Amino acid sequence: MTTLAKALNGPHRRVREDVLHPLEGLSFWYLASAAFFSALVVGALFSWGCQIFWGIGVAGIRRPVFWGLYIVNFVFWIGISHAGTLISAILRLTDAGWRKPVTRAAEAITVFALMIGGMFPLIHLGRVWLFYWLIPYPNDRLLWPNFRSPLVWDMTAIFTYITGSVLYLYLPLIPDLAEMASRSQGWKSRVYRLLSIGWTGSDRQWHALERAMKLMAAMILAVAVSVHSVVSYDFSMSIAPMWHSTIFAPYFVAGAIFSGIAALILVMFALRKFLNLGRYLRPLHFHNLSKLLLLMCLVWLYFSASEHLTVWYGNEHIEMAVFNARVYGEYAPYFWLMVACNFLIPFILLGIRRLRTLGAIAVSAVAVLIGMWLERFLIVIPTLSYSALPAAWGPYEASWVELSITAGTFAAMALFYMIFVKIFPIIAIWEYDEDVSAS
Amino acid sequence: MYLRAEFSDVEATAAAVQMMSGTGVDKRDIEVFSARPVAFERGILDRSSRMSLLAVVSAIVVGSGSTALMFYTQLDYPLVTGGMPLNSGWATGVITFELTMLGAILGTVGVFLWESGLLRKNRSPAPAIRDDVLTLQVRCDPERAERLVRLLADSGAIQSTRVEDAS
Repeated sequence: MTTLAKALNGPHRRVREDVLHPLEGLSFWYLASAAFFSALVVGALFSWGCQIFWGIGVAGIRRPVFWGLYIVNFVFWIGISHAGTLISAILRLTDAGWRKPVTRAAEAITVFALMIGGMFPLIHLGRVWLFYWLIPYPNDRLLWPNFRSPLVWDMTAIFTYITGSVLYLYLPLIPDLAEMASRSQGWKSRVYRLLSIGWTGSDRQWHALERAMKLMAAMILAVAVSVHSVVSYDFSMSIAPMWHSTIFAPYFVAGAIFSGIAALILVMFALRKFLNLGRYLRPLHFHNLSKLLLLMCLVWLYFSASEHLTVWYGNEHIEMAVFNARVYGEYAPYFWLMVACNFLIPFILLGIRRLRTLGAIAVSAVAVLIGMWLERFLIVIPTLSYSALPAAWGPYEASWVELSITAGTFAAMALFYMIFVKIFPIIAIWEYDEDVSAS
Repeated sequence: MYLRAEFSDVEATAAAVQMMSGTGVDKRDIEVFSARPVAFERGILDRSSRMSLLAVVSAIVVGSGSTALMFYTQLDYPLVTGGMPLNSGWATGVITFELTMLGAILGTVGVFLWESGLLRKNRSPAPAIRDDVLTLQVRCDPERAERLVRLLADSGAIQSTRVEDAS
């Protein structure tokens, strides 16, 4: 890789040097961080192994709370996946010029978050080796292909989304892969050449790529909105207190975009700091995204307030049991912490112009991620703890297996990203080149 | 055979393309290679595409195919629905939508691969990608080459070379 940025002339040399520099070498801190995250991932795999060996009983899910942290994490990570493809698609369709250094970082989040989120239904299964029983295909084993189940909808939605997102990440990567193939040597060159599938940079290819990206952006936008709507249907299609709500789909989509923007800001902050990409990921990008975060913070407040106000005003005793547990009861500390993280902190730090520094934007993003995880927790757990029959009420306590797997998924996200930035340029060189040429 | 000419700017390249097509060279035989997309004015080197149409066709095929699969599967393996219909448009509509979109996405990528010429075996030779020049490549008969080389030089080519057709 050391030859990658060499022997280049012209005004685009600096872009290549800066963007390709992070691909060279492995620093001590990179290796130390990778070792730390790998340890957490190995810990999570060990915990999952224990669960497979001893059975699902080692997790904290038991009657009446059969959906625990696994489903909380599933919903959370699918929400995070909205960071990339959705934001990138919106910015691409609106031709926002400032998107160019941001899109690939965002699209990579989507793919990794979907990979992690998609694992949770399998982890939740218990008998993971029978996962293919979920797939509704005609068979002679008396399995019922129930296409009416929102869980089957989930599977098709996520499969479509991950397929589209991987292709949406890969297509604009092809020109950069071809360039890297021409600037590297040995087996790396061969791998990059294979991945670039014969890209030559002809005007036919550029035409086709730009047309395909425009079309894909429009399609992926529709799919992204539908995916989180379908995830919300997992809850709202059941007649359970505080789940059976008509606004759940837009509420979930808004929450997903909210947490997605926060994740993107945090990743960009890390890239800027650790890969020295300050020249490309400029304060302008953080300020623009922080305005979007502030807007989504208000949208989130609107949906949350509507949801809770309607339940409180209806005063239906089954729903009020869940409401009271959330707002005043055993889950109240989580609820008010969620309100602080999702509304108070970002609203103050981003709403007051003097406070809106890069550090404050990063703090707001961390707060929103914590808040949105708590929101998923508060949606899933209290409703199951306080179901329609008071005789069936019961508490939920996460076990070390669930906590370890949860921690492992955050580490896996960091690890996937660290590996990605060492193999592929995190900023689309050719897209940024267009800006350089134009200026 | 092919002629290759290097240009330092888009305007000269566009002028060369127009000169080439003015002498009767088919635009399908002209290609411009660059390290980044080049925006020519409309009419200079337009490439027609059926990508949108075929994406819609692919969406309809995959969407209706998957709906048919669900329909017949639910008839062959009937669930106890308690008097509800075996086939419900509302309940299966989500899957139909998702798979229709999947069809559109796969169709778009398939047409992209076809129209860009990637994965095709019989492709014209291509120059190495350079970030400081635009390379124009023209397929022509050997007897016309001399005249076209002069035209390329007149339109501002830095240098031109001849490449024999490997096939």
